[in-house]
Amino acid sequence: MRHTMREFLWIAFCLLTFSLLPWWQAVILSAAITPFLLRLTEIGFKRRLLLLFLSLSILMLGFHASHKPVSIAVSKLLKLPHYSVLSVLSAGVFALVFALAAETVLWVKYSFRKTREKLSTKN
Amino acid sequence: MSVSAGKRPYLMRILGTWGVFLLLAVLLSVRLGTIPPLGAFLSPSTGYLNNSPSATKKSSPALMSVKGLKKDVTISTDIRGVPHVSAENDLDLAFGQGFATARDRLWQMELQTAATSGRVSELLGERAFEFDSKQRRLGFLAAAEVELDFLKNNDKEQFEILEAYSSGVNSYISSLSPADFPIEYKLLGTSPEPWTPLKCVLFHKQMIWILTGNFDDFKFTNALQKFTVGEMENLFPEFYSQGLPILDASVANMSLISLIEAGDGSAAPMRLDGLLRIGESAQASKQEQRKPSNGSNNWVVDGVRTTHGYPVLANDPHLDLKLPSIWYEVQLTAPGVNVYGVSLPGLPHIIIGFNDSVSWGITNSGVDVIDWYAMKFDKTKPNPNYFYAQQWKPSTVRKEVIRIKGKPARTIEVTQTHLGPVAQEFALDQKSGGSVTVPFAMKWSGHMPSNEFRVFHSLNRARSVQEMKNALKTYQAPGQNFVMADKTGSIGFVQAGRYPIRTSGFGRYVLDGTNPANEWQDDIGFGHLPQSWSPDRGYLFSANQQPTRDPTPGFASGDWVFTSYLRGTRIGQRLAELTTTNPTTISALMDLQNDVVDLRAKALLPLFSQWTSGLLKNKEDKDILESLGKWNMQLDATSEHATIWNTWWENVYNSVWEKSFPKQHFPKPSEDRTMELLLSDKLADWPVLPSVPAKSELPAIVAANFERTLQTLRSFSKRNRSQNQLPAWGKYRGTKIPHLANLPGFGFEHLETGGDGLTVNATTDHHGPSWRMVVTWVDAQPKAWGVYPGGPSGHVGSPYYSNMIDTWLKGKLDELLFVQQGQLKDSLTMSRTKLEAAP
Repeated sequence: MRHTMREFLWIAFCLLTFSLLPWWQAVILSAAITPFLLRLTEIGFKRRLLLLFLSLSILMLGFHASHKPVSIAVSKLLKLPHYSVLSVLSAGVFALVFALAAETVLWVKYSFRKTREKLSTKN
Repeated sequence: MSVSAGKRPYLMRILGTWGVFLLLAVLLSVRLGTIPPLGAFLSPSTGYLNNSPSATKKSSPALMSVKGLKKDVTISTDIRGVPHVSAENDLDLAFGQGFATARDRLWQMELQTAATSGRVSELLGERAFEFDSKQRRLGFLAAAEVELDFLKNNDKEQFEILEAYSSGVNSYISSLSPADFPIEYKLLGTSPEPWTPLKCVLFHKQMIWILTGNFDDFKFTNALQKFTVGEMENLFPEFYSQGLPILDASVANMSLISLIEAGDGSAAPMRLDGLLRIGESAQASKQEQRKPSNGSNNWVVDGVRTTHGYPVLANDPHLDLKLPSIWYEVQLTAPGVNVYGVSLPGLPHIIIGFNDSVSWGITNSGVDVIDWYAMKFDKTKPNPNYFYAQQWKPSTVRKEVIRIKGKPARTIEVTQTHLGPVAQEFALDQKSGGSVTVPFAMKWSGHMPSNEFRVFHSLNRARSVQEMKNALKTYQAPGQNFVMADKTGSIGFVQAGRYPIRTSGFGRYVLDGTNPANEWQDDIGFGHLPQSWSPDRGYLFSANQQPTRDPTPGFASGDWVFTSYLRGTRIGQRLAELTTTNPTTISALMDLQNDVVDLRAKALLPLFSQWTSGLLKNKEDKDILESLGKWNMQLDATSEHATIWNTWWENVYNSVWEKSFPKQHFPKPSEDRTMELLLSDKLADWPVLPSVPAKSELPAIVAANFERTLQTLRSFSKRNRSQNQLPAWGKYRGTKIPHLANLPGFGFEHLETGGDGLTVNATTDHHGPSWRMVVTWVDAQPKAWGVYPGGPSGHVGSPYYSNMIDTWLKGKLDELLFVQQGQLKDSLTMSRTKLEAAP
């Protein structure tokens, strides 16, 4: 499978779990699937963060628009001018958490690989 | 996050990524001050998005198997969002009412009882500690425990109904997952606490306090340092000689009580040497501030005087406007009962409503049922002794543990005397400088156990005015003016309640707690209470004014000292106009609820104009004054003249008294009394006191205030970039309906309303008709209309949170969907939940 396709699959998985499960369960599950789909690369983190942020923003905007009364009330409570600001802010926070969780797992994978390589060189 | 860069050890990068991730994860999981854990709160599956309209429906599925029921219960929710609870026995009916109320108002129920019992610190932390301490000292929790015991021992049926109601609430709570909790729980990071019968009683105590509690005695006692008792009577008449009372001599049907044994003559109001510094802190000031606008209207016209031949009853209780509304509309049906109306969330039964045979409505009687006694303590003993009847008596001390969120619990001690709890301590200024603290015991009828649950149970099932009269014989608190009607055409009124007879007669001042002569002697019996049954004139009404023209025997004083009698006068005048020559219509009696005629303006404006016209320099001001003379004297939301007049009057009123009655330590003569004095031709009536302006100075004061008023209003318009030079009343005054916990965004502001405290439509900036209801019969079938400024649901995301506000604002009423027989029609049903009795 091409890299971009795998990236989109990962993002779709993040969105799905985030919509259905408590946030920490969604983060753990998406992190768990990360090693099978993503690789640690120079531009990987920034690109994934951006894509995830954009996708989550659209998702949150959709949620907020379909639950307007409560979205407006909570936005006013948080002194935000419009519920779209709340959508973007919350998308930003969660995109960062998901991307960092994925990155953390990729670093672990990378460490294991490095260690294995070192051991095999010694042998 | 480059792997290949490799200049720094990759271990640092791993740790950096992990560190940021963990930090963010922790920040999303913990509460930061008042900010809830944002992860859970913002998450679509568990957070506030779950408190959406669809989620509200989901929380009430079509079929639920629940424990605690004998037979199945059906809750049909109509298209207005109002539940109709149908059961096969009284206990299951109470269960269903508890379930439906919790479904819609769980957070409100929790907060209100937490406030009454002094447990807000458990939710909000230390900032609520002062409030909680005060609530504990006022003794609500202790009184509720006594009342619950009283019910358990004296009325097993009502006790079981409270238990069934609580089971219904708890059954709903147990059906919730954290994701379903009302949004306020999510904001506070708490979960619903199980409901108990004690909480029902606590809520009852809270209502009694809202409607009868006050700290006026301290302010009146302070005023005695400036004025004699006679002068006080002139400035603050206990009974007014003007305005229409509830009952005139032609309609009153009570026997006069034979009063009052003079005692040993030692009873007297207490004079304290020094100023009681009351209401000093912001919190205390809020609690100790009287709300003279707490009031209501009700009237009933018999069937002879209506075009369709049946009585018409109207009621609109005025209370602080909040979201969710204080009232919860519901229909309750079981064998022997089919009643519709409004309940209080947390209490079983219907409080104001109707069934197919009778209807009833209430206003607050306002009779003074609270006295404060200055106590003398010997604190050298473990349980402090207090001096009473020339000897020392031991007090009891109740330890109150106040739990505080995030902090260790703190314990306060509440000293109890035979008069009541020592609920207040005020600093008393000393001549030598400094101050001493004086303890005061509170005697309050709300502390005495009573059984209003039985009264409303009987009213809900009554078939005639006579049955309602019988039910009200045991009614105690809070004292209420009940009007009632039945299908056969009878009407009635009684000022029901437990009112004390004081030997001294001085209920408005602080009393000496060492003298037994100052104690309450007895209660006024039911037969002596103001009442009237199917009078010849064909109508009855009340609007918190004094019950009778002459002092009602036994009544010391009441809220009517401060609440405007003009509202009642206007209602009385209109009812006479509507019924005297021809029968009246239902719509005319409905329209009366929206009447905004200002009788004070009618009386005073000509005089003010006369005083002012010659003193104005500016032509524009003169033109405005002239146009004010052509005003229809109605406080319409769109009227600029209403804004000018009201602001002008307020400024004059404050100017007249500001030197004599400064700040919060003193009462201020009522606006009605000020009006009477201003209108009086007799110079002797004007208080000749050094700090009150002389009568000759009044025209200049009134004119200066007119100019000041116009300046204020012009600046307001400029500030708001209004096209009009002067703002309309609805824009200038506006009405807000805040959330119960004042959460911004959860309430409404700047609603454009007409009326004011003295008009029949008594809407003010934060207060007003909390439930408007009109009931009659057509072809022997009950027909009713109603509305309240809110909605059935307490969930901010629900379309039923505020669905009635627009109708309320327009002064309209919804037709109430009373189900006479069978179930609510499918076309009128939004959802139906069947609670199945689990084996």
